[in-house]
Amino acid sequence: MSAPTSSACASEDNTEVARSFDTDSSPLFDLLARTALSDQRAFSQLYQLTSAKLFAVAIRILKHEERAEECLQEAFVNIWRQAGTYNADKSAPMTWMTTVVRNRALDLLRQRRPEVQADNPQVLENFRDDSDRTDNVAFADEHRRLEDCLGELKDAQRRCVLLAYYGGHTHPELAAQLQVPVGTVKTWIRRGLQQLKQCLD
Amino acid sequence: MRPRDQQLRDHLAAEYVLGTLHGRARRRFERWLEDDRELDAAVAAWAARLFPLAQALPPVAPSARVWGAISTRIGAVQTPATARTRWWDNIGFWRSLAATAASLVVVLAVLLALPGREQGPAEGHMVMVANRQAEPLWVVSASGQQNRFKVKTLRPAGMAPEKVCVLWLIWPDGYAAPLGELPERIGSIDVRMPKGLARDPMRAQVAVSVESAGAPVTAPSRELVFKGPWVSL
Repeated sequence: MSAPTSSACASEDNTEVARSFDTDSSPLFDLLARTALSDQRAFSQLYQLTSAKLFAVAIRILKHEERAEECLQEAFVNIWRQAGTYNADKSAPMTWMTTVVRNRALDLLRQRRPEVQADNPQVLENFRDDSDRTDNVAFADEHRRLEDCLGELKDAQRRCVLLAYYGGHTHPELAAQLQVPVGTVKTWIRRGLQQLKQCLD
Repeated sequence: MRPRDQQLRDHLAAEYVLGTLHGRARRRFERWLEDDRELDAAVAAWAARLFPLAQALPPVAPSARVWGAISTRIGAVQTPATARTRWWDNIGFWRSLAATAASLVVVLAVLLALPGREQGPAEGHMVMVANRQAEPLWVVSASGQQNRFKVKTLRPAGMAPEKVCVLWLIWPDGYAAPLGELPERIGSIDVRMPKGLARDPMRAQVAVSVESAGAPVTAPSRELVFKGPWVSL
């Protein structure tokens, strides 16, 4: 099968094309459908077009380049094997692939990261995380709504949601990091999510 | 007991997508998803709602080695039609045996220690048989002497005691000649084509089948677990 172009030039190309696919995912539908038929060329193209976006997701959660590479590799092997189960009526191609990558990243993260005990200050210290930073993220125009809705959440709720999504943190880890009881974190997340849904739907 | 309350179900779907549902609760939820289409739809809706967060991250190009590893792992035998599906789905224990992609060949050339001084029409050709984890099990290489081949066992395949792997040459017309059993023990052995067979081995594909130990081997009795052409180094 043909390998993607060298990573240096691929990175720029990928970025451009991946962005344009935010609005038009029909080429990805086609590539996924052909991947389901074991078309390795289509799969190679799919990788070239989406891997930079998906790698960013893995890196953000795992915060470790090698593990993120392992994650991306396993996720794409899963995409190759499960392309036939992709349901276009249910989700957009990139949403589905992001789910595959995130689930793999969360699994890998938790295999290696023991559950945090909220009462252990030393462990707690290791779980400082700035995953809720949004200064380096850029929402595409059609995604501004989520950004607006996040803006309507209380600070603590928004932080929890972002730390969980970007950092892969569990309730106890969030409680440790934010130095509040687990119950409080659960409430913030529950209310935050409810409010997001109301705002978005 | 899976919850019936709509609000609770939707909330679990949200926490599943967010990632805060973890450990046993996550695994249990995934089992529910298998046969609960409504819950599955709730998960898809939440994945779509939160997807812009992932999409907003600046892209990071992964190293070229990631694609190398992926193409190796998926680069199974390119037999026609639906062979790939049958391969993964029907072979049971032998699900683990897969063929290689050409990209691994270069890496493996180092392991091969091919005889450099010997001459012969077939020299420099090899086939590698790997398992599903892309771990190479055997390298079959042309010895430089016509009709003789070297089999290098790189790691034990872990066969059940009553089963063996048999190496074959299969020509385009379907004629199959056994070269012998593939060893479990790490090391090298020599195998040869059956005496008196006047066929060019380089025109054949190399194949592996699983046979009962001790049974006479005249034709591959089961579905092939591996089939691939010679690769020229």
